[in-house]
Amino acid sequence: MIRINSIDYSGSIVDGPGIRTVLYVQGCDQACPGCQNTKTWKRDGGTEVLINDLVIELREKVTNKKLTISGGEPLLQGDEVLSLLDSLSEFNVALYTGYELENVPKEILEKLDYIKVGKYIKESRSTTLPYVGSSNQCFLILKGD
Amino acid sequence: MNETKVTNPVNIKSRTRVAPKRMQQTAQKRKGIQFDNAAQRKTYVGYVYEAGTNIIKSKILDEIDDRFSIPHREGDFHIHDLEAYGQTYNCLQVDILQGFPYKRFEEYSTSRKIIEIINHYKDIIAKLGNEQSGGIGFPNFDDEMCVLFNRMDITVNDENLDLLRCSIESFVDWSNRARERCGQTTYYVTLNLGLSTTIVGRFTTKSVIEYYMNSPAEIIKPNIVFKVKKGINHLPNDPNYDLFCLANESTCKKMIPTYLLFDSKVNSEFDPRMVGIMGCRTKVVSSLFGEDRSIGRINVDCATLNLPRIALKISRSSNDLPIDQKIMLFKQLCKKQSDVLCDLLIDRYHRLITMDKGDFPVNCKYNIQLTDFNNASSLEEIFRHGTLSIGFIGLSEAFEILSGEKFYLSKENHLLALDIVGYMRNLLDEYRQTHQLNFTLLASAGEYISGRFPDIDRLEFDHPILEEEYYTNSFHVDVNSGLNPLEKVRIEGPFHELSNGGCITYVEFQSAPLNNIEAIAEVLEESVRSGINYIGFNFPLDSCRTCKEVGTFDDCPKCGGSDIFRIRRVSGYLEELEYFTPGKKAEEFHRTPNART
Repeated sequence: MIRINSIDYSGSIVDGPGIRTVLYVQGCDQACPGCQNTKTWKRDGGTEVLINDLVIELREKVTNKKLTISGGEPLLQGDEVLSLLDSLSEFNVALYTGYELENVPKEILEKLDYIKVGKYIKESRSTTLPYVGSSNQCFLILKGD
Repeated sequence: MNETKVTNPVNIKSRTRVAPKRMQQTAQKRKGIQFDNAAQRKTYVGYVYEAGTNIIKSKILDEIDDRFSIPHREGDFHIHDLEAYGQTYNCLQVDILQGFPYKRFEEYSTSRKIIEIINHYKDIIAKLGNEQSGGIGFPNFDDEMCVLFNRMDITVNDENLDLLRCSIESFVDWSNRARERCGQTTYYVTLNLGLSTTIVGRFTTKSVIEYYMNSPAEIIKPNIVFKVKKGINHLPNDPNYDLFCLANESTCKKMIPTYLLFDSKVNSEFDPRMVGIMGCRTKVVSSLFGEDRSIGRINVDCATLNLPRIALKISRSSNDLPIDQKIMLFKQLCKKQSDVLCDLLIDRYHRLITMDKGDFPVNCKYNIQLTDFNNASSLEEIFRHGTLSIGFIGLSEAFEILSGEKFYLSKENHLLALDIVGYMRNLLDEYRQTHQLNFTLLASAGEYISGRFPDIDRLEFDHPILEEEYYTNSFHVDVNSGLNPLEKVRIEGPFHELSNGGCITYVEFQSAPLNNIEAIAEVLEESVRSGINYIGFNFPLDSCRTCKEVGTFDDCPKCGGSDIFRIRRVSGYLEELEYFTPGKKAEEFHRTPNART
């Protein structure tokens, strides 16, 4: 089971390259001031879904197979995220975490195409840097074509 | 198609939503002359010109058959560029090479030749704007440069290329500053490019796009159309793939270029080097009188059917009938009005061909159409190569009035909507055969009528659909459909095959896609699969006049300034929001992104 907030199928162009579906995972302990998604903070909020059901839905609806796992803080449910990544091996996946790169488990990193690392810092807000909310954050390409 | 009207005769219903500050700012400036398209500007001379235009329009309506004038006045259909009725044609894809004045150039130095090539383009544009009513396209701007370099033996070296680049940059700037028709409108110019793999051709495409991409937000002209073809520029190993990527990068920043897709089924049979499109969407390719080509061909005239009004009439008289019977009635009424429009376009055409060749001096002097003006025995011999187009607006509203549902939310409804447009296309094909003229079905730009039609219909009908102040463009899904970009192109793609007189699909982003060129490329790839012929990417582009900050905002986030220059796309071209027509301003207010940002 994984606790999620919502899935946005409207096609994001700011959560990684291409047109991406965004899975918002529930629960976050970062509490960044200025967070745009405070409703994902509560760890017991959202909905618990079977990972298998989630995989079936994403496979059916995400025709271009580009997924961004955001939140919330996805790594609070690291085992579940890993299991999801294992099941969606044919997907191109970006992970949005507030953790720094060195704190991201290696077994997750190696299954990702992209990762956005670093907390959101309101004072460093950027509207011109691709794929990040503040200039301290980094968007990294993990797999080449 | 350029249209004007002095006042807006109908009061617009009050909104229930509170307009954002940018709407309020622009609304305050909407006074005096109300124009029919966003490229027009207020000047004293322009005012006089417009006053004359309106008198001519009234005179023509009094003069032509009641079968034509009454439905136009009542809003059943709209005759575009009415003041030009029988006087001139609409738009042209200029054949610049055929009658290029090489002789005059012989005496010039190499540097002067390069400068004068671009001056010749400007000269053609400035003068042609006075002898036709609509836009001016150049079907292969990149290749044209290469051919002219070759034919005039201009050496391809760094110095000459640098001069070409400077001339092109100056040309782009001029397109934004220049005003034609007594200073009251900017030029509707479109440069098609992207296919030439020669050194000069590639350099031309690169220079145009790079300059455009890096110029201030205020640089919004000319319209640039990037022609996409696998084997030339669409795949990573293609010789011009780098230019395709550069184009995508520019689109991410400035919404330009738009893309003409030659791998889509509807365009795949054409030779891409022979075909170009007008920025607005008008497409002239197939012909009863020769090969498939755009070069040197015109759209003679066009008129647009008010589809929601037909649906409103049926809804009033036969609302209890099942949907299939209502659609049958819809088609019958559609045919009745199309038959009248067919006669109208022919009447207009016949008046046009009785004009004198001397009424088209630039066409005569530079031989820029398919048939040589000077050798042709009549104007008919020249203008028969042009298209006569019947267009339509508000398929979405019409379908909703008939069925109570959105056409794009179920497969069944989508097929019914396609069947309606397919029926219209068949009508046009029949007219083509019967009258032996190049009739085409146009997914109209409808800049002015998007507001004019619902304003008129509101006087006669009471329907919830009329609470909005605009009708949706051609076959487009609602601007607030919520469909994601890939879904949108899949829904709209099949309509492109039917609309052979031209059409465009827009993908709307909430803000600039900040270097997400993969998103542009991905949508283009899906567009090819879905049969999209021509596509543009839109997002709100705001620029602070005080500190030049660019983004999407009400007040400037950098300096707090409120003097904001707002760029939006309308009818294929980028324009200042401040100058949008009321209908398009209302539509812009409701635009909801097809992709979240």
